[in-house]
Amino acid sequence: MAQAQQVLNVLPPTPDLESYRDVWVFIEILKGNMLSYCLEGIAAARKIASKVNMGVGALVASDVVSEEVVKTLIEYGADYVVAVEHPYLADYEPFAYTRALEEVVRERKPWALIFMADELGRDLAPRLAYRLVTGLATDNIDYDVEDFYHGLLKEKYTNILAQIRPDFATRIAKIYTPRHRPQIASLRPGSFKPLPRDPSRKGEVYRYKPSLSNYQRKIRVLGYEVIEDRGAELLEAKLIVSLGLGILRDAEGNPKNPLEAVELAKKIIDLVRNKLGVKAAMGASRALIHADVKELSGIITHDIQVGQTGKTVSPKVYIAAGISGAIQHRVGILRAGNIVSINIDPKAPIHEIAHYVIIEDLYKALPKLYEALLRKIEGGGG
Amino acid sequence: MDIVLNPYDRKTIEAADYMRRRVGGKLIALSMGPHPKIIPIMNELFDAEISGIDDAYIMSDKRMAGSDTWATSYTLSKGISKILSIHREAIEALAKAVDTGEPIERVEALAADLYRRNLLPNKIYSDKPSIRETLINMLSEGKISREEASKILWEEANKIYRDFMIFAGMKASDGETGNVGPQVAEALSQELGFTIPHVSFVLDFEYIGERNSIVARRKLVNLIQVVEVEIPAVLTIHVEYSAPPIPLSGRRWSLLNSYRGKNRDIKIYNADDIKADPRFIGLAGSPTVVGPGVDISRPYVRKVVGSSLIAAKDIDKVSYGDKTYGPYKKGDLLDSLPEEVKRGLMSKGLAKIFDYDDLAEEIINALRG
Repeated sequence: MAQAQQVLNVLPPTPDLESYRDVWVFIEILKGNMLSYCLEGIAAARKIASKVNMGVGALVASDVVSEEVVKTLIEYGADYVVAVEHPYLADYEPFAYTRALEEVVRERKPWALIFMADELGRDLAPRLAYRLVTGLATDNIDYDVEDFYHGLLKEKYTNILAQIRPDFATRIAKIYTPRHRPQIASLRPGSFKPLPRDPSRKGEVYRYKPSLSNYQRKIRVLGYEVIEDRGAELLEAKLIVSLGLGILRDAEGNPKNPLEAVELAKKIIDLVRNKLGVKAAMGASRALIHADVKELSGIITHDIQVGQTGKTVSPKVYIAAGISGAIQHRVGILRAGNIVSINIDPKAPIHEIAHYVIIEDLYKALPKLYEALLRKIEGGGG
Repeated sequence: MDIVLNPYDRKTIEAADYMRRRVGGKLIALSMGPHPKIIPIMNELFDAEISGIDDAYIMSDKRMAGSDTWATSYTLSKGISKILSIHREAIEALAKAVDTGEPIERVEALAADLYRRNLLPNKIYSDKPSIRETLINMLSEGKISREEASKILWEEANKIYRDFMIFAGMKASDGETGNVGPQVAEALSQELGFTIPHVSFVLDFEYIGERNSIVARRKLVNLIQVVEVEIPAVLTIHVEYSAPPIPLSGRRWSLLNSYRGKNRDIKIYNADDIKADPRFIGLAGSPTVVGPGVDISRPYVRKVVGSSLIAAKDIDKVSYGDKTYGPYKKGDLLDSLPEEVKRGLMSKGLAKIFDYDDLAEEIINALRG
């Protein structure tokens, strides 16, 4: 009796819960260009789909979705493509997109729907999730499929998507949407590697024309400006040298001109770029960016922030100079192959997750590292 | 009216304050959570010399605990709906008093009370010496008829649901990402029965008077998208937001549309006050459930420059006493070996302290591999 009462007093579940199947990934097209990191979403969807024996669908919205885009998505691991086409979808606008996706989701009923956690996904997914009355887990870095016991309802749900995200309090939290479909999630770019392209893969395309009935156009897109986003460079880099608050002072605590540290980092980056032909970039911690240091304006900017509220990076080598390593920063570099920590404080948390530890003033350590790299590269190359 | 959903976010307040100074109105902070924790924050915001808030509302109820962003947005939309209705009812009450032929002294007394409670703009009633041409003044001086006054008041009452903006931050203080802006836009659209658009990651915006709209520049992945959006709308403010200067013209107009300001009587509402469906709030109303936390630390082989011992070259099995160690490859970490084994290997030149050259070699191998 008490339990029945309780069930009545919660958000009603999605009707027809069991009929939802397949894992979909929303593929972003901006000004006619598909964003390549959406292929990481297909890789994530494949991981999930393999555990629940479902298919992977790539969901694309635009005025027209080209055959080339369809082919690319299939070859990178989608089983089929759902192409939502309408003149109102030529430019991204959240309400038209929400309405169009709502229609196709209600008709085709995907079990899970993954967005990329960028400015588009974070704008669109929340509104769609609210409209569909389902959960949204943001900023995921990994997925699993698990059984879940719902404490409030005292019910067990089998084969539920575990949406893994960094969390302030518990380090990493798993979010479940047990009673609602689709299970909507947003995936941090850089958390998965795209699958290798397989030109022999074949798949179907379903072209869907949304009705957008009663759609009131309340947003007009007036135009675009291209911005220099060094963040994209960061996501592709094999070597990243990141700077933190530690660059503001030397080992004795005296103020330093932080541009010196920037120059030292650039020397290493340029060396690796020019002599090894490897992509390399500079990153920064949230603390340094938010310190609003005058000398660093235009150099240490928001777009190169690494960490929970910035970018998740996956270089082969990540060098953290003067970064203490707060949990929010650490979750952004979990996928780095090798972490080199440079911090004069032996107790700095960054050392705990580093593969290589340098407990020394970064103004001494960076030049030594540069010289050593130069010696090895020139010695090895000669 | 500007309603701010994450009042702890400086940039969000800055954006809402820009709108208030540009077009008038007032700045309301709306928050959800345990009120004993939020009241001190609201008081700080009242005290702020620049960008201070004018009104504060807190949705506080044990039943709201454990809300995810769906339930939070539902609750906030009910709160916003309640706030709008309070403002509409205030002007309606005054309009009815005018309509029913209440004596002018009674109409004035009602207007004064509503004004004191921050519910009437200066253009209807004001105690500011610089503002004489208020609606109530003109009515009591016989400059306009009751019919004319009534018509204007009913128009003003209708404008309450048309002329408001909602500002939200990108991230709430508990680390939940900026879902609340877009979700409140949707929840409030359903609550009020018309579409309220949203624009996220707004870098800057300007008010367009002729069309009562906003032109905003917003971050969109590798682009800045410029959009024009109708009012009412929800704007989610980017951390890099910057406010343009306020034009000199229109300041008088802005003042007339403003309120008395700084009503420190913080209103606290529970779920019943805002007529929230108990199934849609708190844990019960949350589609998502947070599972137990997981430790992310993983075991590493950690080499410390200047102190770790590594194999200087490939080492075959070595025996010390009755124990055998190895084999080791060049560069392998030997820190866990017994001291005497380490000393032995060092003396034979088979082990060495990990230095910058070794680190450089490993970095280069990793980058080439």
